[in-house]
Amino acid sequence: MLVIAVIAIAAPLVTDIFGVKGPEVRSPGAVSALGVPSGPSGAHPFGVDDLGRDILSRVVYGSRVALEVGLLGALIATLIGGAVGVAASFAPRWGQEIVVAGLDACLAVPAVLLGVGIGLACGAAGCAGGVVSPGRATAIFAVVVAGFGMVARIALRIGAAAEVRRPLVTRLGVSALRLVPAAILLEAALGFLGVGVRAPNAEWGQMIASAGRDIASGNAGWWGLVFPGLALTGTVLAFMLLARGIERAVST
Amino acid sequence: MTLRRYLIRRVPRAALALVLVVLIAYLLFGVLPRTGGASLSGYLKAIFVDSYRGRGSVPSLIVGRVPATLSLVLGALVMWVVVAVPIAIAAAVRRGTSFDRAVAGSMLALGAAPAFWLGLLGLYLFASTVGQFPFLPGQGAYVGLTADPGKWFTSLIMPWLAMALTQGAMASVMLRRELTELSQRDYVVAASAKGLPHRTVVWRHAARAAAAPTLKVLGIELGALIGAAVVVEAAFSINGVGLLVYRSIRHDNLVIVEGTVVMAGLLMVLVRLALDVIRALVDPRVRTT
Repeated sequence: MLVIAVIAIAAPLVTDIFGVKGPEVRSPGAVSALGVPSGPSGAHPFGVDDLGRDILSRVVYGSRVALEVGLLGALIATLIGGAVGVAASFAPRWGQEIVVAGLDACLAVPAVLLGVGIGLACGAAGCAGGVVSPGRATAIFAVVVAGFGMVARIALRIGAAAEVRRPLVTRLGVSALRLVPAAILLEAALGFLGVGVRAPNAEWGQMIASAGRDIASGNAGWWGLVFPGLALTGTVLAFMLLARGIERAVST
Repeated sequence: MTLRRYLIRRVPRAALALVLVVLIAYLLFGVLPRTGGASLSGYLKAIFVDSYRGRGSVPSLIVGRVPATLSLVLGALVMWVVVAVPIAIAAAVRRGTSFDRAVAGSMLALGAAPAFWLGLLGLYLFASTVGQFPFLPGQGAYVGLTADPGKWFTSLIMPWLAMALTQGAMASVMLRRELTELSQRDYVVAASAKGLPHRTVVWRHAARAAAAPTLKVLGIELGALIGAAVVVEAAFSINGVGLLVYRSIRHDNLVIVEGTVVMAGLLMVLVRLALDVIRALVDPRVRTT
């Protein structure tokens, strides 16, 4: 977990250590005349993609997008969800019923579909009067809309009476942590489908999608598929384990 | 609380949620992105009634593709219920043993993997077109159940596995949490103490108590399963609702995506209501919450 964070922050340094080029630099020599990318070699430990870009370098830089969207998205979703839930807990009974129905409605739409809708609606020119700009902010916005309902429900159930203030904060912290892996997976799925973070930015979901197209067209490059997928799965797993560990620690 | 009183509380909430699905979609897609924005009635007409570029209304475009998506989701669901639920129950009963820990660990690792990645790995390894060990149909091999049942089945094996292994694992992690205290419940302990064989304890006593939590997890997980269907259909070129969404992204057809979002939301509200009612029938304790 810590390792991933360090890699993400120090991405340029990491690529320097491995002696590979930047994530958007193309090496024409690494792609054959027919456009077939070359596999792992000394110069490119993870191989290159169809445009001759170094995959190790793109995997390393992709961690920045994953962490940014995952952590920021989960944090904002928790703050908004917590605020909505706590505010609703002061409302009269009929008001609470409306909020619960509204949360049911938000949670009814599958997150991926909601994300695609937001990605398309905001991806071209931004939305909400420019607060949500195209690119990463759109992906974060999608994560927030898809995730805040879960947190709001928990906050509403606990309420904000003085004697439960500490358990409330603990539970919100835990649910924020549990949102992180879900947010990273959602962001990757959106990237895979082609909304959210846009090319040429290195992003794991997009890398997997483009490797999939290469494989389907017969330019089989397992390296383009395996490495970003492992990075994604490893990152998600690390955050899942962290969330579980902390949950266990605070519940005993 | 009686079942009737539970329904009196639960049904109006679902009805309100149906209205709010439409309103929230209108706010998110009709108002927020544009300055000015369409009127609510104009918005509803665009996504429900108007013919989209001469190809028919959005609902008719979606309905024609539901069978493929349904095959995918239901098949993955059957795989999950038949394989993963018994494993999760068995692990919960033997909590703390090495079997439980091994199950929990592998479920967590699989749940961390995205379905589209596992699907593409499967294609790379086993697809008859481009696979290294070709023996299963690859991309675009899907045919309808009525057209050719055999082909329908074989073309869906890999997509089903991709969904069941990832989303199913995620659901099993949740189910295991729900069943946490199962092995310590009095009647399970009593059944074991009576000297009943382990199998009887699991299936007669623990499995019944697990039914309601399973339905609860199912309600939560169904949305994620539909989301997984979108990416898996894109990966395998299965002509379902997900591929329609995927193509709409390519062509920037926001209206079709909006229609899908609203229809999926409405459907999920109804499905969750149905699951909650079944849950309340199976397990009276549910009615009090």
